[in-house]
Amino acid sequence: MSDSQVIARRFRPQAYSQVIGQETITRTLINSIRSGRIHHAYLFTGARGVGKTTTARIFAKSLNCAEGVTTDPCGQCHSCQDIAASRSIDVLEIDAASNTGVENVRNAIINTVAISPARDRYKIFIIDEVHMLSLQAFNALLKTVEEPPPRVVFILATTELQKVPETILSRCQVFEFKTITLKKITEQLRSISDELGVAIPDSALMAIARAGEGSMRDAESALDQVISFAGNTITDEDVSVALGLVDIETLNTTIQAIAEHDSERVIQIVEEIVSRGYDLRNFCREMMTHIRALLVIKVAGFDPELVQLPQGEGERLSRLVNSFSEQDLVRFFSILTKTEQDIRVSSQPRFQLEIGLIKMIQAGRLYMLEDLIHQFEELQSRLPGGLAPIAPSSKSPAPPARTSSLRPVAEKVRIPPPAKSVSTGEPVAETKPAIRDEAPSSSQPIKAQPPEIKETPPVVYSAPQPDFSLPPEPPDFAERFDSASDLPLMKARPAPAANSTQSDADRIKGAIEAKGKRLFLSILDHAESIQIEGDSLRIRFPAGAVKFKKDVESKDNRKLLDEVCREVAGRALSLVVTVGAEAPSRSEALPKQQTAAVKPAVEEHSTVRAIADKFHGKIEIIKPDQ
Amino acid sequence: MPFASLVGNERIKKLLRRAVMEGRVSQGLIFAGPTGVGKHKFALALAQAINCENPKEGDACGHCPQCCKIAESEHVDVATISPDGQFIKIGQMRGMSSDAQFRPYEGRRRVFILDEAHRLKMEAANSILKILEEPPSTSLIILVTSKPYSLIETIRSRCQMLSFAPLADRELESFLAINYRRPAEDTRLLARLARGSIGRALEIDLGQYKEKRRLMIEIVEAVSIRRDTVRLLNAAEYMSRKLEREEFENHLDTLLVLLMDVFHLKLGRPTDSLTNADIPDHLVRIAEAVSLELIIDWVERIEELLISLTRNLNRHVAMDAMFVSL
Repeated sequence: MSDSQVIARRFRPQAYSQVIGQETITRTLINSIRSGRIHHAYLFTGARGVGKTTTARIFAKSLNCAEGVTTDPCGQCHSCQDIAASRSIDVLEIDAASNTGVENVRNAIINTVAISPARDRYKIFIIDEVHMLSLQAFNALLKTVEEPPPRVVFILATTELQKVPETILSRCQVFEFKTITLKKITEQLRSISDELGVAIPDSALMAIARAGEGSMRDAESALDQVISFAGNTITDEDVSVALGLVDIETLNTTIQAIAEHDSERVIQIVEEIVSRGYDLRNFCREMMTHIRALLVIKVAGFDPELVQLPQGEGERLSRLVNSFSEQDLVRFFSILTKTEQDIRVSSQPRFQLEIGLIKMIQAGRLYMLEDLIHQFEELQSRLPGGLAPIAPSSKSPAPPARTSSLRPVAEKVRIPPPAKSVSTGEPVAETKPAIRDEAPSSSQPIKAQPPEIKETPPVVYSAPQPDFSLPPEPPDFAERFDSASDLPLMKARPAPAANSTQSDADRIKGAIEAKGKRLFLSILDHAESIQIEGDSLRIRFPAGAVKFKKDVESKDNRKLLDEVCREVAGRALSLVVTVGAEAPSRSEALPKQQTAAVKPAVEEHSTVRAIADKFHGKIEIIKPDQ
Repeated sequence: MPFASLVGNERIKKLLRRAVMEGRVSQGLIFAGPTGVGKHKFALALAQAINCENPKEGDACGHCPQCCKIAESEHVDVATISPDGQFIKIGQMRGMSSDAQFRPYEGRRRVFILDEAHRLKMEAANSILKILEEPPSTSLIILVTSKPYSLIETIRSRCQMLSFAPLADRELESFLAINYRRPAEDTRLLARLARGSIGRALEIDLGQYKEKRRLMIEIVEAVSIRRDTVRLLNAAEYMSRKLEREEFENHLDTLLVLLMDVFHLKLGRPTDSLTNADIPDHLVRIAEAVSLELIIDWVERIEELLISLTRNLNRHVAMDAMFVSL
């Protein structure tokens, strides 16, 4: 089955001139051969499939060719042929990855190194994948590599230089092989396919070369795969089908759809990608490459040196590029990076990709945080006085976000068009708490027209209104800054308001927030009313919320509330939690004034006093006789 | 089981049959693709096609002794190597490398199928580099994996990689309809839930799924339509206290599928293209009540929760926190 031998093997270079893309290295080696300065240890390193093992073998042939040390081994003599087939007795090719131990090294190298070459001039050890040797094995080699017997040459090859100990590195001449440019790979593929008699257009070859990602062997394997799929006549489509590549067409349509804000099209594209069996993460990566190309074109204009694209693609992209700003493209990058990670861990990778692409569509409607701050500051500067005390808090670092998120803030927050942006974007603390606070209240009441803000004094709790049934709602602009944990302002809040029942709820909540008990706070958010009535704190939940009642009445929370009451009201209050639509006081207790009137008489009553003394109790509620 | 009897992935069938016919099957192959789409079966079919006594058009006959032995995994030259415990170990790979040097005993080519190849230990993976690069002419090594990118680059560079696609919904649906008796609607739902994997389709218990889905719909409705926090917290309590971790994750997964449907509805996809196409009313109602951004936000939270679960977070607290924040 010699026909099945893969291209990468069949076309393995046999002379320096055939090694593609490593001219500096081959020239150095040739010169050292010419001048007779053969070192005794070489280390070849570089990415997969760029020619390390190949160069090692050619070098071995140069040294051992029957025609003498030469820069152009004949390839005909026994030595050359044996080396090419890796069966020479003087050129030992050792797979360090399967012979990792110190014993292997002793047997295969140290014990045989002293025996002089059997037929050829040099005894050459090619140690491939040398990074897999154990530390002991490396150390065992040190002395031998430093001072080998004459006529011994070591050639070590590895893809992972960092795993090779420095003591080894310092004893070797290190050659770093570069990844190969797209152009050179394409040329090589062209000459291979010509030799094989395969008809294939340039664009298809380019796609294959791209799939190689700088590695000649990868590209050759890919070509193999395409040939076995499509036979001797190959089209662009064959390539993308056979390799499961995302073709440039799909990438372009995706970008186009994003530019046109066409969500439905995007979903269709994802469906196509899935049904064709593309790897979704791979798609993300391809998109990133493509967007990188867009970004380069945006910044530097189309330059074939910087962006390697098939013919005509550059022009197409140049047209697309106008739909996006630089920030857009950079944002796309971060969205794609996150999407790629999400796809990896998610159980619903397809959904994640869809969300990622939709986010990219929406990203076009985002505003830069800097712009907003700028707008905000500009607005502030136009307001005389009114907001001055608050201004610093808006610039101070936002309170820690609840979700630990490293994403740029701009990505999180969607800001409506500029007309409203001032009002909604106003607490520039763009983190979750701030936004959450905003959510329950409608954003309408604070559609801040500048004059209004000016008129509103910074301290808000001035107008007492005996309407307790309203759900707690931050009444005003300034209040919002308070709730975004603006502590200095809160402490400065005047205590005299303590007797006014108007903002019991807000003050209690403020105090709880100051203690950082957000979860409890969120429970209280569900209360229909929170008020201080005489010596009791009354919290009323909507019907059915028995769980909240239980939560509030738990030991810890009682304690917390107790502390808060002392802080807010200056005295201990008893806690009354009720559930249901009706205010409780009507059925259980007399109206306040009546209670007050009856109270002294009741307290004087001998029976009542006796009972109260006995049980160390006090009178809480006075009910009328049924 | 020749290629002709396998479901789906026609592209790969065509590719392999052609390669067999022209005698240019590469000697190192990676079969990559989602779990449960038949990668291992394809590998066996390829082994049969190569070793079959009367192959026709690159496919095995399925009747000759060679084919039968391979199907029964009794063939001397065809070996499947699976992880020994957690990993495929270097000892196994050394054994394989030395076996590969022998000529085939009864067939034409020795075939080694490495199942779950992403579980190759680092040393084991490195130890097969040489044999993958320059294999003996009579060997064929097939690496089967659902995570091709966990394989080291140097292995990927030496092999041809075939990416298996998930089965199309209709392929899976007809497969299920032929092999299992179910109402057509259920078959359809199952096929979509399985997302193109036969293996997954066979694992799903539809009754249980519907039960989970009912609960999850209630939750979504509680959040979006009825704003019933109590119901929500009860559900959180049920999920985090009563369920084992795996079941818990399944529930969240079900929730994600629902959200995906709502997401699609929001983007104007027709109802019959949805996964849960059998309950369009619920979905439409939810879709009317929520915004696209909200769904995205939920999904992020759920994914966060799922990730933090892997760090042994207290489930109850995490659920409460998530639901309260929704």
